Amino acid sequence: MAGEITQPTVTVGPADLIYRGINPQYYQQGQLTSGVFVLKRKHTLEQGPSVGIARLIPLASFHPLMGDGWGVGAFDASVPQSQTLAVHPLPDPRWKEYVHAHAVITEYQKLSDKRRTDVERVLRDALQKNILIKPTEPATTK
Amino acid sequence: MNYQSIYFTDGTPAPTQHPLSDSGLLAWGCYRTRNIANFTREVHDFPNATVSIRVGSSAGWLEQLAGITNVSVGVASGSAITGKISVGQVVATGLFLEGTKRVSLGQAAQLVTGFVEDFAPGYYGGNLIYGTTDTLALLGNVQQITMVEPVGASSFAQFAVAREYSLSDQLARLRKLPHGWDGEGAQPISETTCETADTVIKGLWQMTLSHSVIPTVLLGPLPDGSLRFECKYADKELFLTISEKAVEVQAWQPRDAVESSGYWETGPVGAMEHLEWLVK
Repeated sequence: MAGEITQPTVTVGPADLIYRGINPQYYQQGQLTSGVFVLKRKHTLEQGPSVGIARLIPLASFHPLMGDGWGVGAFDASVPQSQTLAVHPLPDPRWKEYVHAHAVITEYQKLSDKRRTDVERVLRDALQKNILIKPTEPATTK
Repeated sequence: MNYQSIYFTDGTPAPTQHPLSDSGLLAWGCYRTRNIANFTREVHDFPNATVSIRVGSSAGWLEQLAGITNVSVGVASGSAITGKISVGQVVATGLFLEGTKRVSLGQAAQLVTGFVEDFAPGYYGGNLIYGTTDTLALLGNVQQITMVEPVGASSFAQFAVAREYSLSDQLARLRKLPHGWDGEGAQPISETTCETADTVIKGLWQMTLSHSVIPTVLLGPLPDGSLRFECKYADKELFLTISEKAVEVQAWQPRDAVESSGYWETGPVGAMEHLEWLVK
């Protein structure tokens, strides 16, 4: 679990590069689905999409924090910020020496259902443009 | 003689006319087949140009096969089918086979940049042309040429079946997702949700056959146990989010729009009218 809600000790500016883990379930035929960013009205801060602040954690250290087969994409913090969302630093002890590199996307709880889906799509498209490590596509089963 | 020419909007021919021989081959022999339906061209220097295209008996496929272009493409044929492809429009559906035309001078240029964005690999039926330095000299600063072939109803039906199979296969996989499949407590997909999704897949198949178009469709899970179809066609995008028997519909046009043009709550039957909107 992420740490208690505290005042951010780091700030995230629009030019900050943000890493996002990509669950293979959200990757098909080389395309991301919008499930990679699920934004729910009832989400608490800690339930917001988890991201890494690139200047505080190398990609090579971020990727192993994700699950098996996961990929990594990146986007500028300006993308969610342009949609009135915030990238809120939220230290996560599970990230050990990179505890302060953890952040969550938030401030979408106030949006309408329609608008939240709009934003999910915007974030999907932004991440699609910069997939740094491709996830392993789930094997088809019959 | 067949022909294709680029014209400026004032009607003046651009200095890039390319007469076709009666065999359907360009004078410099760069086509792989005679079975030419139409061309689209992405042209640096002629953003306001119009490409006139003569097509054959498969003119009904034009809108699907036209590909992408940043020029304005007017389509006319002997069967009086006309269409207009607006500047920058991506015609997202077609049966194209990504081909590699061997070129005599060996200076092949990849001319399909961005073209395959909306197509699933392996589902193309047609040809893409590569240019030689000679060709490029003739064409000017042509950035992209796409040549396509007409496809028959049987090929189209085969594709439609393959696509339905693919979606059904994906649904079968998603049906088996265990609790916590996202590593954070995601819900499994309920049987009712899967049944509703199956109804939508069947509707997509019918839509494909009745309109002779093939939207790009991804089916993905959401952590709350719902399923989402993400459908793209031409400059439109449609989300169908299925939770039990309910379908939430959200639509965007053009595709680069941030704000959706509509949001509806309906069922699988009501979703069909939105799929109709997508493919029209």
